[in-house]
Amino acid sequence: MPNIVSEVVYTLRTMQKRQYLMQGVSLGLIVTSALIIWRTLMLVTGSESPVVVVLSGSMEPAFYRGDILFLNLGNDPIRIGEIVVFNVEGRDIPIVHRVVKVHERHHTGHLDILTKGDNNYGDDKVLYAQGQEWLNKKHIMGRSIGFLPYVGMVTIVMNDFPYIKYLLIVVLGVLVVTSKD
Amino acid sequence: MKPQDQIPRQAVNLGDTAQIKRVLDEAASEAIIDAGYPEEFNVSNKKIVLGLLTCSFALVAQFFPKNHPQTNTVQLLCVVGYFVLNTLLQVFMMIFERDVIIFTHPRKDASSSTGIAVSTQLPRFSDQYKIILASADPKASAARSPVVLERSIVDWFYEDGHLADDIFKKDVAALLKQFESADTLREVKDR
Repeated sequence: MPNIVSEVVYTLRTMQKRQYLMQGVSLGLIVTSALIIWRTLMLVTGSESPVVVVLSGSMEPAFYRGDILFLNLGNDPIRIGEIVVFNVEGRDIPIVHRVVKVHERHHTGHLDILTKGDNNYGDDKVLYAQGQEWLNKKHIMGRSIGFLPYVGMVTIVMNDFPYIKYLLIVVLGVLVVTSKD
Repeated sequence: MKPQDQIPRQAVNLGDTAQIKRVLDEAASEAIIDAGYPEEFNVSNKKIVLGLLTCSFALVAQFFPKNHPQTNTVQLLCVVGYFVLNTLLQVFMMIFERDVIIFTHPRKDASSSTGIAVSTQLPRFSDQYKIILASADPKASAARSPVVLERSIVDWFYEDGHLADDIFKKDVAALLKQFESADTLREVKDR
């Protein structure tokens, strides 16, 4: 362990300005490639947030806290039984629940949607904004089209303990800059 | 004085081929520069500029002020631009930089001197280090035929992992002399 630290320190001390710049650019390319992959996913799925983490147990046993959901918006009409992720005015965290009622108005294609968490006693009317009785298409961020169990726990932990996030970024940054490749 | 002159070179882990290559490459570059060939930064600069440009596309995509979905075209352009630039960068590196560890300008004091492209190879689990000196610009009038030195690294390292600086640099200097007195490419073609 101390060997790695002394190697890193030695590398940092003997690097010249130009090498710092080169390594900085490499680091920038790695970080920006992650950003670009995210943006591409956003474009491809049409959804604001193509990957979300399930934060509560309201959809058990289908989804548990810590699962990762892949979302796609698409142009298909929203139907009963689909699991959707939606935003409510006044709440900053989107909610993942199942559609239980859909009323479609003739000719205009306007939709009134009611959702409910599988594991909840009642439907979501109490969660909607003051005076709002139904969700509309514009509130829906996407439908769930796939999921990865447990992997999202990392995000939850990093959100509850933000210093872990910063520590991870610093360590990764130092490793990339000193990799001399 | 370069920082490397004040801090003694660290011993390498003799089982780590990548570290060995790195140390040899550094020493070889020093030997060539000390012989009077200043380092050329053209390729390195182009890489940096291209890299920064690519990153800026991604940053624009990330921080553009308007909200989804009106920014679809902007996002699309940025993403496509990023992929194109990244590919260009990789292709550029592949073409110009394949095994080269350093490019130099021609020597200032010699009349028919040429810039050097120093390439090295040390395959993953091998002990044969190959160093090739070639003209940086093969079309220049003073361009020379490339010279090669291939030898086992055991000749240059002590058992504890320290590089035998003097022995290695002497070998590189000898190779350099061989390169400087080699026939120019034109002479070889005319033969």
